[in-house]
Amino acid sequence: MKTVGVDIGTMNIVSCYMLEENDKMQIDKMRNMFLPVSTDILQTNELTDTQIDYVIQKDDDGNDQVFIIGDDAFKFAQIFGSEIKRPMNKGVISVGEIDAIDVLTVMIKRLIGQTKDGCAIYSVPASAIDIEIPPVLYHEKVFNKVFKTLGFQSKPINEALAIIYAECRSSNFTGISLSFGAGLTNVCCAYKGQQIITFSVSRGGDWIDQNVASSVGVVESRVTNVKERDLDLTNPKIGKKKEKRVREALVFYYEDLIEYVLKHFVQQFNKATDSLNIDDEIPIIVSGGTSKPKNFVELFRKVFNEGKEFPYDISEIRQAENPLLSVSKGCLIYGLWNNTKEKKLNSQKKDAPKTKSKEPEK
Amino acid sequence: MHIILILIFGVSMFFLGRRNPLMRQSFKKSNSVSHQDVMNIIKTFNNKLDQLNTTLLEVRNLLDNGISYNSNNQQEKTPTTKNQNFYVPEPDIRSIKSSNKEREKNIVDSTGVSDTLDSLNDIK
Repeated sequence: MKTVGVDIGTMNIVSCYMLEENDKMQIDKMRNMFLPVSTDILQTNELTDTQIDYVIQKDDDGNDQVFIIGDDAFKFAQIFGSEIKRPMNKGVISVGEIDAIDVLTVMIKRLIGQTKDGCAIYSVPASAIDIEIPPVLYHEKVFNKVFKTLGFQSKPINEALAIIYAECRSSNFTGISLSFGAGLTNVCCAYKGQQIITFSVSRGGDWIDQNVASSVGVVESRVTNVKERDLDLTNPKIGKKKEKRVREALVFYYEDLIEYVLKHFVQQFNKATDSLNIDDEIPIIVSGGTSKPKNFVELFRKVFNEGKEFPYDISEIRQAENPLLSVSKGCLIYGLWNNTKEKKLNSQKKDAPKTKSKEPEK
Repeated sequence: MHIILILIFGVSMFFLGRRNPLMRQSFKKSNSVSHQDVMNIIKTFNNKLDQLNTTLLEVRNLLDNGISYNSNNQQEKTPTTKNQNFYVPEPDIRSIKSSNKEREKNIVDSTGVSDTLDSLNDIK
């Protein structure tokens, strides 16, 4: 059975699965976005010879609709300065995008392929504590159908819990993980692999991009590009005047995001102190695409130490080994672990002696 | 001056009362709406508001968590079959043509995964 871990994020979809060769794993990533292109600009027959990721689908009137998908959509949007469409918003399927489900299905198919008896573990966000987001249950149901279409049985797992499975082996799967995503920031506290507290807050990378774009007057995708290219949160004074302004604004909003997340983070953990008793020192793992800029952890540590007192002893604050990969890796580990448990259970059932009910002797 | 004003007010109220059928009825009966009547109206209104709140909460819970809500303020942890059956659109990719662009293969070492699995199996 092919087992895959899929991180379905607002900005990126990352998949990973074990290869049949020993000790090898394949990782694949695609931007979770698409760009509708008018057929007046780009003829459908012209696309077939290009190395562009696209989909062509019929609209209600039977006309061809062309969507450039994934990383190519991001590149095209930057060249032409146009706004891209996003199938997801705030960590869940976007209610405003009518084509979202079909495009998402094609994108996931491009990453994990189609099979007959696969098993997919995918990430879902926790409910947000500071905003009303569309129901996560609906989001789960949609993705269960998407994976079923591709031949996979599927199971959701909390995004921040997946990070615990991927990064907290040394602390016996006990720790606090923060996943700074594009739509939301997810938080999970787990003890020996079991989640105790999970929640999300409504701010993430998109919030930074939107605020920087409106503050400095540039298109959001260009802000995203500067942010992802080589942003150093301790040294924003790089590049020409306009770019310098963007970088300075990025640092300002990054600091504000961390302060906001930590404020809610401390509040939620303070609320839970009566029911949650952890004597050991626990690590904090910072992950997610938004935590990728240089010196993010240093900024996080600084804001954490300046803030209110945290009710638990912290052993360390560190970044995930690969912030973009860790959720999908955690999903895969969880999937493989579940498979092992199921196999064990089945073999125990088989090995158990069959006791026949004896008829009472007459 | 005050007495004249009070008299004008009293007379106008009397004629207004005679024109309004509801007030005329209450004038006829007791010349005023009793405190009990007002309390009953408020009570009925509050009951209706409570019912509405309960229904809204139930709908919200069904949508949000898949947890049903019953009138005894107890949450059932197991999702009911009712909330499992809401409509979810079916993806249809049969009519979609997509590109055959070759994707870059990113193959990494996975020893960390197998070690982590061993540790997970050892958790007590």
